Amino acid sequence: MKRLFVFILALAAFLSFLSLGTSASEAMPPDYDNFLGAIPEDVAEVLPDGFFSNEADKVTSAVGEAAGVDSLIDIVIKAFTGGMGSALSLFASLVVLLALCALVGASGDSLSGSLSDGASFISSLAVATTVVGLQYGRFEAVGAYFANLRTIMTSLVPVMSVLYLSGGNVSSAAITNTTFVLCLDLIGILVTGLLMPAAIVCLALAMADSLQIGKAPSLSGVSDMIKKVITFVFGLASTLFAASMGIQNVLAASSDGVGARTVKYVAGNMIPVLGSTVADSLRTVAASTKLLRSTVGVAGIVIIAALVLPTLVSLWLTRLAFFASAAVGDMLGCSHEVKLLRQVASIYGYLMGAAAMTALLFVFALTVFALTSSAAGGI
Amino acid sequence: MDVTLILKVIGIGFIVAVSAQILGKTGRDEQVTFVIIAGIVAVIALLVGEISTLFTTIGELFGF
Amino acid sequence: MEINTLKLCGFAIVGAAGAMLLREVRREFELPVRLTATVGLLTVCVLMAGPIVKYAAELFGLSPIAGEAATIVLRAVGIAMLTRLGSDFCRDMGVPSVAAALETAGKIEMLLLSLPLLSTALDTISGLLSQSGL
Repeated sequence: MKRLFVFILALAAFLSFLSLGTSASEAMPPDYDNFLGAIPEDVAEVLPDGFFSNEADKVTSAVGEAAGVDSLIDIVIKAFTGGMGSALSLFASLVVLLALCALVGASGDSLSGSLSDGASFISSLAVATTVVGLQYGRFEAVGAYFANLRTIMTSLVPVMSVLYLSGGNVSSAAITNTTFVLCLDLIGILVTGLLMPAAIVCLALAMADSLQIGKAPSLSGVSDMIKKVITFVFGLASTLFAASMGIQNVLAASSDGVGARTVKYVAGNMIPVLGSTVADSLRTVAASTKLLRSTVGVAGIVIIAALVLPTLVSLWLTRLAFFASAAVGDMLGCSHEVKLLRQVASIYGYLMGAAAMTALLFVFALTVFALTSSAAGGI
Repeated sequence: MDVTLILKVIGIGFIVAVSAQILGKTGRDEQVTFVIIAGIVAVIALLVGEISTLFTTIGELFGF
Repeated sequence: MEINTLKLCGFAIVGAAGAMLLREVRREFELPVRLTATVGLLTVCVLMAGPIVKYAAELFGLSPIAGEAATIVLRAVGIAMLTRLGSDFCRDMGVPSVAAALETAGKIEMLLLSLPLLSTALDTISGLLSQSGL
């Protein structure tokens, strides 16, 4: 709960740094439609209608409306109410199975040692099979979240490049394109090649651990090591990319500023009669580009927030259901099953961390994009 | 469950024991063996039904 | 079924006393008396547990997720109980090797019962792995 709360605060803070002004009516950049097409349906439903307009004015006011804290809270509340039912049903099923295991444990006293072990094995297997079976849909949903995030960010890259170029930030456009594509590819590889397989392997190890009867060594150490590796790799990748994007944008903006000043000087001094007008018009272009850039940046952050918050809430509720049923299992004396439930809850914690980290990485990148001043206007 | 069942089994046991004693003392040892076997068969015939009831009840209760 | 605890105690004590007496008079009849007392009391236990197990089965059946697994677990407990009873009767009759063989058969049957569960779990994990691209 603490991590989820901190994540929501971070999102709100990013959004509050970005202010949107108004301007005369202007069209959105050409690839904006592709970006809108990449938004999943369940996320599109919570956005105001003006989001999908072609006019910058309407989009700006819709984005401003969607970026408010009350809108974020609304998304979180909807996610809670939507996910609560499935979490409660999961909790109830697990409690039923644990009650069955307790019954088997109690009847084990009247059975001989090996028969009692056999009955305990089957009851642990029943719980493990049910728990593993339930993960199919949930892991699929986590995979879909990362795929949607990639799709949205991939569709935003051309829009961002166009806006950088129209503002005179040539170097920033080149760097952003390269960095983002690299980042998206790396995130894709990390998720499909590391995160999801590691989560499934940890699940299998947890299941094997819960089925052990007798003095077999515990496999939880292997599982913990895998989770630490995931956290380290994701943390390192996110930190490196965030730092790289931030530094590269600062350097690129400076060089773009020098280039733009050169253009303005040349325009002002070399073009006869209209030279100063041309030079001044660069500022106007820069101002409207700045607005569009803020709008698109904030729109991207809002979409990511609308995508990540329900996923995080759903993962958190599922984790809570597993912890609660483990507490019930403790009371009923089902030690093997409780171990499994705690391990699965821990896996969900790591999935939440990875989802939040990738979302914050892209939110940071979009913030940098939105706040980078136009080369033509920053003179 | 009928309390009389165990009394019947005990009764059969005592009857066979007494009969065996009497037949043994009168020198009819082969008949002692037959009486004992008959007694055991009678008791098993009484018990088989009860054991079958017990196993069937457990089977129905646990779903097989 | 109305169970009177006093009747149960009376049944058990009469059976134990009868077995003790017959041990002195005719040793061959001690075992049938012991078996009768055991079978009678166990039948009463099972009849008393009936409503509890049926209620538990209904409760487990309410959850579609847990229902199937719960059915298998209940069957396994039933097999374990029957095997234990049978092996105890065999030991009482003085044939522990038969008892051991029966217990082994019971364990194998329980393992066979658990195979669908194990297969489902392994299929799900391999499905998850193939879904994640491995």
